Amino acid sequence: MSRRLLIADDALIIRQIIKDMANSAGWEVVGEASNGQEAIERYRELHPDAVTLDLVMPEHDGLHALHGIMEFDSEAKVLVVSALEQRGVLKDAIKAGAADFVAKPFDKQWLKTTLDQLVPDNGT
Amino acid sequence: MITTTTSSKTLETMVGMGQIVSGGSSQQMKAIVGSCIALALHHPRLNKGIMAHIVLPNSAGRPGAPGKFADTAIPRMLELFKELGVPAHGLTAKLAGGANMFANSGPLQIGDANTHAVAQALRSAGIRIMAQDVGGTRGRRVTFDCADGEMIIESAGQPTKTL
Amino acid sequence: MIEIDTDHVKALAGLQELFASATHDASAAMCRWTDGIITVTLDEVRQVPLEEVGTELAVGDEMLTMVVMTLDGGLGGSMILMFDELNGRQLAASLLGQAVGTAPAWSELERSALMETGNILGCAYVNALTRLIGTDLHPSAPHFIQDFGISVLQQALMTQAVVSDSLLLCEIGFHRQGKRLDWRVVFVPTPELQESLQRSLHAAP
Repeated sequence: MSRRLLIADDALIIRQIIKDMANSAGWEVVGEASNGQEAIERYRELHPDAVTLDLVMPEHDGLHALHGIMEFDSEAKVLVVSALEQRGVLKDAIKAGAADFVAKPFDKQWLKTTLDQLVPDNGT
Repeated sequence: MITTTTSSKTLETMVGMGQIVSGGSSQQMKAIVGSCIALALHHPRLNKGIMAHIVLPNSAGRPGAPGKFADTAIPRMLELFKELGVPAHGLTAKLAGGANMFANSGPLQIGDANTHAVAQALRSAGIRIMAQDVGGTRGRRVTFDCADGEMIIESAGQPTKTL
Repeated sequence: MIEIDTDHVKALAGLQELFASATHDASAAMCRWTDGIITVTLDEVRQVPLEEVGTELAVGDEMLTMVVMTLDGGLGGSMILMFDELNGRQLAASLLGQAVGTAPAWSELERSALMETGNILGCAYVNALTRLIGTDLHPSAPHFIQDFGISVLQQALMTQAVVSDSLLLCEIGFHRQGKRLDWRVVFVPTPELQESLQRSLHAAP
């Protein structure tokens, strides 16, 4: 069975890039979200194996989403994918339960490797 | 200040932020406004006009170009008109602008604040607003003709308006 | 006759150095985003009289395609990335790996490509300035706007215009393989952010 991924980013182009990379790496992209609140709702609905989460989003941002997701599922595997690399924000994200961080603009191979480390492919 | 002559020998002057420009029947003033207000006063009998490009609602006693603030622009416009022999009574006002071009989280909805401040200052000066095109989220290119007091407003994706 | 205020000149020179350093980081990010094609350089940090902003930046009368990001909170500002229609479409096409769009309305994907460019560039500056001043800055999500350039700039200039008739602007240029592109970024810091940047310049290392 494929590993299941939720992609949360307000940028359609980023969601597209991550989706293409993930599909070619054997993930099933089960859903997308374009703001923080939508990310929480979709997580609850879909129970993915992992989430890629942008920080700067309209309406409700990535930290809001992270708190909401971790509150629902303390074992959630959330990979923050953001152009914002401020120490304070990243510390808050890790403290809130983010599993790892990839900076934008990202190398697709590096994103794939990081996702694989979060949720190894058991080949089933 | 940039003034050009159009093909019909009308002088067209661009009114930059904080500026006030006056003129007679062979003159047009132009301004591009977003959150700013282009305010034009016209004397219909004398065919003289004056336009201010107002940037902020209230000077709060701060120094600065008089055209920059709603509360200082209108008194200054009336002073300049007086120097040209245009009386303060019988004037009409037209205004355009006061848009909110992009959302920001601050309390300062500057477009709306500018619109209200200009309306208030005109009321205090006893000048009637004849027409206005304000608010929204689009920029406006405003052309004011001193010959007949007409104000033409062009905005992206909208039909041209004539006030 | 303009009297030269030496303190002011020094302050501008300091900000120039600071933004040049931040631009170096922004250029690296743009280069990665565009697969090595586009780089960024600092043109100038300068003071422009309020009434001359449109003419000085040569954005008076044209419709432009813009991406706007704001910095929210006490240390604020706006960054406006500006293109004419053709240059904007070309960038979107190159990021999407497709032909240049010709439909009158931009597709959601084209808009997204430009907005994400603004996001990456804006966050690169935010990251660099945060390291320099030691305080987190809070960028907004980008907005895509097609309108008269000066009408968008007006709102960005408001907080500076409240306290001054002369506005501080930071202008940034773009290059493709050494050739200058007709895109621009204008960064407009609020007076509070300017002060914070000046303090960081004078702080002991």
